[in-house]
Parts: sequence; C-alpha cells; structure tokens
Amino acid sequence: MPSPLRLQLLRYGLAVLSTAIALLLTFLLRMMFASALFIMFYGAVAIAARYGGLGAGLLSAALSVVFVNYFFIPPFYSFETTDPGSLIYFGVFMLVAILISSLSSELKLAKQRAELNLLRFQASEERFRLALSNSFITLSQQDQDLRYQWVHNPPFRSVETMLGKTDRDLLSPVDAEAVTTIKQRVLATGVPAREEISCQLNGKRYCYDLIVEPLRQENGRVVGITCAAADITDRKQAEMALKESQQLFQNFMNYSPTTAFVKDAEGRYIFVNRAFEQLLGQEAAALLGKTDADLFPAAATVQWREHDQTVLKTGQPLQRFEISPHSGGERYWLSCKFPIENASGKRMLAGMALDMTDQKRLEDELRQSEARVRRLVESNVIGVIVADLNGAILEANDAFLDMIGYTREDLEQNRIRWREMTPPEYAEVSRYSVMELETKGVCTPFEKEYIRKDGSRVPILLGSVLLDDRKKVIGFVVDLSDRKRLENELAESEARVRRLIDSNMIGVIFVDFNGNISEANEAFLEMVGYTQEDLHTGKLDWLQMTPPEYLPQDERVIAEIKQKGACSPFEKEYIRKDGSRIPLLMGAALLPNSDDRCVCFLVDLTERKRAEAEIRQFNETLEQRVQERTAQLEAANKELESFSYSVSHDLRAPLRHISGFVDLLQKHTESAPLDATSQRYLNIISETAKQAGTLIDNLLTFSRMGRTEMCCTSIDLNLLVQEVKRDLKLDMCDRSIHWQIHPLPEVQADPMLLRIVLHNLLENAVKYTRPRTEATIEIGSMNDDNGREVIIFVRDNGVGFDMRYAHKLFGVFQRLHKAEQFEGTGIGLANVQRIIHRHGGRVWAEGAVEQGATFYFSLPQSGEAVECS
Amino acid sequence: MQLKRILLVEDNANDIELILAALAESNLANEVVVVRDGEEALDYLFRRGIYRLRMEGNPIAVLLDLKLPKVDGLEVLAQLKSDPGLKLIPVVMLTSSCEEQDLFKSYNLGTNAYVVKPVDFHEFVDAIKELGLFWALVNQPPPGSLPPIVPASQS
Repeated sequence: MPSPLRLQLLRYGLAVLSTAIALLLTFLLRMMFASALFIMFYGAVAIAARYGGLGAGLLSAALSVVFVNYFFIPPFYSFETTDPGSLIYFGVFMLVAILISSLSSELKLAKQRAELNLLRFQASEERFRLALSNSFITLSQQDQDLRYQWVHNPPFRSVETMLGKTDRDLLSPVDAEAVTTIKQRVLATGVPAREEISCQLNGKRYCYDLIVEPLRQENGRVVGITCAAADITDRKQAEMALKESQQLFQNFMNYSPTTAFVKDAEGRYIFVNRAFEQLLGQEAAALLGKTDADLFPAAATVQWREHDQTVLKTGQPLQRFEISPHSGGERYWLSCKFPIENASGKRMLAGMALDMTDQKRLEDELRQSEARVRRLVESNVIGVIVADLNGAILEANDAFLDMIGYTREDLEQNRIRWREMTPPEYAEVSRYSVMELETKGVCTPFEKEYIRKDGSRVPILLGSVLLDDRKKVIGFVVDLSDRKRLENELAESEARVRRLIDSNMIGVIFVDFNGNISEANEAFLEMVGYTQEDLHTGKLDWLQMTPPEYLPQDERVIAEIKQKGACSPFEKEYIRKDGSRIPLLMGAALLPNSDDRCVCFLVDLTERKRAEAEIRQFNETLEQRVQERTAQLEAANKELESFSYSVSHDLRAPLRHISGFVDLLQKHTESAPLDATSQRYLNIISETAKQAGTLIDNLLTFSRMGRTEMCCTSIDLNLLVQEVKRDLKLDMCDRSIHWQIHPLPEVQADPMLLRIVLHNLLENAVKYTRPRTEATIEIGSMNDDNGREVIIFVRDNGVGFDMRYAHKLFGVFQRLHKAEQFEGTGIGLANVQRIIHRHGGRVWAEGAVEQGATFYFSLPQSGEAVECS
Repeated sequence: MQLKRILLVEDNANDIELILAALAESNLANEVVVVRDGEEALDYLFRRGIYRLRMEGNPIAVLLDLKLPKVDGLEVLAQLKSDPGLKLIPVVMLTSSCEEQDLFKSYNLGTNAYVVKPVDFHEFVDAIKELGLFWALVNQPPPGSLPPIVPASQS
C-alpha cells in the first residue's frame, strides 16, 4: 500500500504533469489553437481531477492559468496582463476547470462506494447462507393462495415436494387448520404475526416459533407471505419438564403436613410452603425476603439460627426439636434442616418441620398424670391399694396400712384381705361395687367401713378402677374418721347456733342481698313488730324495711361482705310494722358456700340511744353549769379577796388602838405607877394585841400564798439552804446545833415560795430542838423509785410528835404544842403544804414523841410541776 | 384662822388621837389640821366649801389615810397630784394595809411615801415622829408652801 503522503504527491504530481503536457502541446500547436488557447488545458484539468481528485484538478487549473498568461498572452513571457478580454478568458477557464474537477472527483467517489457495497453485500450473503443452512429455521414464501413459492431448509422434506403445495396438503388437518388460520389473518390484515405452533411431523410432535410477515407489492397490496419457522421443540420440552417438575414440587410442598422452607445463606426466606403460610397467617409474598428475626421475637430465633448455621457450615442435615412462640402458645417442632445448592452453586438451607405440639402435650400430660398418680400414692395422703376381685390386697401404700392398722409385713405375707375386713353389714354394698366394676370398669365412690387389725372400725370412702387385665383393681381409700368427727362437731355447733337463735337474746335473720328474709327468730320479729306469719307470707323485706337514708350504707356493707365474707358491726334503723323506727346494731356474715346469703345478728339499740341522748343533753348543759360554777367561784374569790383586804385594814386597826392606848396609859401613869398586877395586865393586853396582829399578818400571807403567781426556775437547793440557815442565825445564837447537810439536787420551783418552805421547816427544826443541849438537824434528798420526783427531808432530834396527830400537822392554826412551850401561829406548815401542793409535790412527816421528827416534801422532776410550766 | 402646816386626813378618832400623841412627842401636834374624810380633805386643799375662806398657802405635807369615807385616800391623792397648784405637796400614805396593790396604786399616783401603821405603839410613835420631823422640819417644801417650822431648839 502506498503511504498517504506518497499518494498525495502522486495525485498532485499528476496534476502538474498533465498541465505541463498541455502546455507543451499548446506551445507546439499554438498556431492551431490561437483562438482556443485553453483547449489542451481543459484536458489536463480533466485528467488531473479524474485521477487526483478535486485538489489535483484545481492545482492543474491554477497552473494552466499561470502558464497561459506567461506564455500565450501578450506581452509574452510575462505575467502582466492588462487586456480585459484576457481576464474574462481566464475567469471562464477557471469556472469550467472547477466544474470539471468537481464532477470528476464526484464520479471517482461514487465508483469507489459502489465497489465497497458490492463487496459488503457479497460477504453478507455468504454469512446468511452459512447461518441458515445449519439452523432450525425454515424460511418460506407463499402466495395469495398460500402455496409455497420458495422454501429454505424444510424439515423432513425436500424443497421440491413442497413447492406449489399448501399446508393442508402437507400437515394433518388439525395442524394445518391452525397454521392456515394464522397465515390467512396476516394475508387479510397485513399485520405480521408471531405464534408458537406445534405439528405432527414424521410421527413426532414438533414445536415451532412461527413468524409470518406479509409480502407486499410496490403499491402496498399484500400478495403473499414470508414465513420463518424456528424449531423450538427441545426448548418446549425442557420448559414443560421444568414446569411439571415445579408443579410437582409445589404440590408436594403444599400438601405436605410439615412446614417447608428454603432460606438463603443470610437466612432470608426464598421459599415457604402453604403450611408455613398458614402457620404465620401471611401470604408467601409477605414472607419471602424476610428473616426469622423479622417474623418472630428475637429470643426465639437464636436457637434456630444456630441450627441453620450448623447445617450451612457442616453441609450435613440436622434434625432437632425447635420451639416457636405464637399467640396461642408455644409450638414444638421436629425440625429437619439440610443444605441445598441452587443452580449457581450457592449453598442454601432448606428445612421441614413437623408440628409436635399435640404429641408433646399429650406426652407431657401423660407424664404429669403418671407423676401425679405416683405422688398421690407416695404422698400417703390417701390410701391406695391394688386388689383382686376375690378379696386379696396385693399392694398398698403406707397411708392405707396406717388406716387399717396393719403392717407392711402383714401385706407381704398376704394377710390383708379386704373381704374379711369388710363388716357383714357392708357385704352387700361391696358386692354391688364389684358388679359395677366388672360392668363399667369403675365404681362410684361409696362410704363403708373396714375392720382394723385391732377390731375397731374405720369409716372410709372407697373409689376403684378396674385395671387393664380386668382382674385387678386399683382402689383409692380416704379415711373419713376426721370428716365424721367434723360432721359431728358441725352438727353440734349448728345446734349451739340454733340454741343461740332460739334463745332470742339477739335478733337473728337469714337474708339475701335482694331484701328477702328467709328466716328470722322471735327476737327479731319482736324488734320490728312482725309475726312469724308475716315472715312466712313473704311480708318481710329488709330493703323495704330500711329507711332510704340508710340504703347507701347498706350498699357499702354488702360490698364489704362480698369482699371479706363478713362486715364489722354497724348501726342502722328498720321501719317497724307500725311505721315507727327502731335503732339497731347489726353484724352480718356470708353463709358458708354461698355468695349472696347472709346471717345477720341484730341488737336493739333503743335503750342505748336513749341513754346516749341523755348523756348528750347532760353534756350540753354541763358547759353551762361549768360556766355558772366558774362565775360563782370567781365571785367567791373576789369576796375572799375583799374580805382579806378588809381584815388587813380593819381587824388590825382595833389591835393597834389597844396596843397604842395601853402604851399611852402606861406613859400616862408614869408619874403614879400602877401596881404590879395592873402592870402585868397591861403587858398581857399589849402582848395579846401584838400576837393577834401577827396572826392576822400570817393569815394574810397564807391566803396570798394561794393567789400569787408562781415563777419557776432552776434552784440550787444547797445555796438556798445556806441562805435560810443564815436568816435563822439570830434564833440559834446561843444554841449548839450540829448541821448535817448532804449534797442537794437542783430543782424546778418558785424561789420565793421554796424559800418560805425551807424557812418554815428549818425554823421548826431549830425551834423544836430547843430542849436538846446537842441538837442535830439533817437535811438530805433522795429519788423516788420511778425517778419522777425528788424528795427532800429535814430531820431533827427534837421533841418530835405523836404520829396519831400527824394529820393535824399541816392544818391551818393546828398546833401540837402549847404556845407557852413553843411559840407559833399554826400557819407555817399549812403554808409549806400549800406551796408544795402548788408545785405538784407532796408533804408528810414522821416522828415520835421525844424522838425527833422528819419532814419530807417532794417536788416533781424537771418539767413535771403542775403549775411550773 | 391659823394656818397649820400639816394636813392629817384620818376618819378614825382613835388613830387621830394616837397620831397626834405621837406628833406631840415632836412638838408638832399644834401644826396639824385634821380632816375626817376625803371630801373634806379636798375642800381644804382646794379651798372650797367650809374651807373656801381659809388663808392661802398649802400644807408642807399631807398625811393621808387610805380608807376614808366618801372619797377614799387614793382618789384624794389622784386629784391632788393632778392639780398643778397642789401636785408638789409631799403626800405620805398612812395606812394599816400592806397589800401590794395599795402600794402599787399609791406610788403610781405619785405618793411620796407609804407608811404602814404598826400594831406596836412604840413603833407607831417612832414612825410618826420620823415622818413629822422629816416632812415638817427637814424637807424643804416646794414653793407656795408655808415656810418650814423652825425647830424649837433653834428658836
């Protein structure tokens, strides 16, 4: 192949050459062509364009113009051209040259293309021929009458036998009819058709994919058809086989009692059978593509997934029990899983599972039932025996042996025979039961007695079943001793209750929640004023007897009874027959084995209500009376106050006057002194007046003691005793007193008042030890037993007192000694008592004549004083 | 009418006699004018009624019994102490009561002293003597009062 560059050079070289030759020829023959200088050059351009193409033609034309101008247009051998005629001449030449060039090149291209197409066509035809010759495709052309005009690759026939024939001549009538119908339709409509047909050929049925195209004339009229029939018999057969196989699989799966499924390696369902659909209540379409995790609770799927993995990993089938949760409860499956491979060799998991739930339940029930029976026997709650119908007991549990008082040894030595154990009066019953057993296989439980080994009898309940061999019996024996006893007790208890009811101590009725009173005792009837006859004729209805305002309460009570079986006693009223009301206290309880019948106990509250009303009235007036009393008391207090006020003023004045005038008298008689007796009288008058003054003062103090307000603080008794002792110093300046003061506690009290107490007690102790040359005064304290109060005592070894008069010690103006003996007004200890009482404490004294005295007072421990708050 | 320097308000004749006897021991008995009830005391002090013609001038002290007929001592004290012209006169409550409430009321009304009449005459005399001496002789009376008595020993 020449390179493109060389080709180009060749083409343009040709242009130059042809032009040069034209120049030469023109030059040589210029005389001849004087009028048509370019004649030669046209040829050059044509040649150049013919072989070199458009470019070469144009080059040649250009060169031609140059040459002509140079050589043949005057001035010769020069490019100068002035002559306009020459220029037009050149222009015309150039136009013609370009035309020639383009035509030539066009021609050249067309020729090349034609050659190429021819080559392609030849190749294509060759390929087509090759392709069809060995294919299943039969091509044919038929005319308007459907006669074969042309056939290629006919099956089982030579072309010659077919030409000019129709399908009716060649095929069975049925096949021909079908094919002809299709082809006629194409002929009629002009619409191509494609259908699968089958026909009997050579004794065998073949399938074809038939394409029928209309064959048209130039004017579009359909003049025949072209057919292409591809033999698809094998494919069809394969398809059919597959379909059948699938159908088979589907049917097999769908009628399988097991669930069946196929999952891919990721556990996604790619097939499920009908049983599976039914199990989940969903269409397959909804299940495919999902995993167990999508369909079941995660917990359930763990085990399944494990099994799946094992199968996929090992490639071995696996048979396991699996459990699946469902709304109706768990289901048990015998699940068989195995690996399968799909067409692309991918491993999948297939499985079938048989629902074993019912079997398992049966199994479980059987097992439980067995276990129950076993436990029953072993628990020895009831007696269980295996006996024969002749009277021998072959087996028995301990419960039975205990019941009849025999030992296991007796049993083993066949010494226990039920017939002998049955008392004569039960022989008949036993015979019936044996008959019943023999006919029905079981006997209705009945009560009888057995004679125990020791001769006593035991009441029993016996039920029995004939065993499979129809010779032996299993019997269940319940000891009725307890029940019999309970029955007796119950009867007794009932009798007691009956007596209670009949005693008519309280009202008793039997009612239901609807108002009915089924039974009532006399006490009740009397309460509500009805008679037994009213009761029996149904006139008593407790709901109607209940005043409306008590109905809500009754509802609550009924609710309580329903809930607890009884209610706490409550008060209500019933309307008596005469319309009056009776207040009652009522308690009710459900009767055993009933949920709407009650026994009610009623107590008549009329008396109590009356008493309550009285108390209420009394209480109401009490307040008023208290107020009256308080007012009276206050008035009395006022009076007392004004009395003591008057006393202090008015009673003292005369005394003062007596004393004053006695004094004045004495002064008056200074000049003439009175005789000794008169003088003594005057002294006595004066002394007595003074004493009366003191008496009044003390009495006022005492009365004030009860009225002054108390102010309690903590008091150190040790200090207080020392202070009081100091106050008394004057009284004992010439005395020898041995003080024995023990450590004293702190107490809560009014300091002023407590000081008066201690002053009085110590003063007394000092006073009444006066006859002693060695006086001893002891002060101490002690706690009482329960620590609630502290006790202070003052003990002396003085003259003491007679315990017979101890109660008089603390009275006002009460004295156990003569004034001449020991001075005093009889107020001191009264004050002590008053003060201690106001503190919530106690005072008492012990002593004996000439043997000293001990005075005690107690004070409540902190915070417990009555007024110290 | 001679003007006396001490006003004794006392209803009880015995007491009057005893007080005067006691004051006599200090030679003050003549300086005492005695009125027998509260009304009279007020008449005297305010110069009205039978005393409307008495000479001007206030007593240098008033000895006032608590319990008085008609107007009682506390009322007299109250009126006296609420009058601008009289309130500066020293008042001594003279009573047989040592009730707290009386003490409280008296001091609350502005009494200058409170003396409980002792039953014992000697003590009584001593008390009165001291009172009389103090108020009549020692104390400088407020303006508008009569001049204090010049003690006998100095005269």
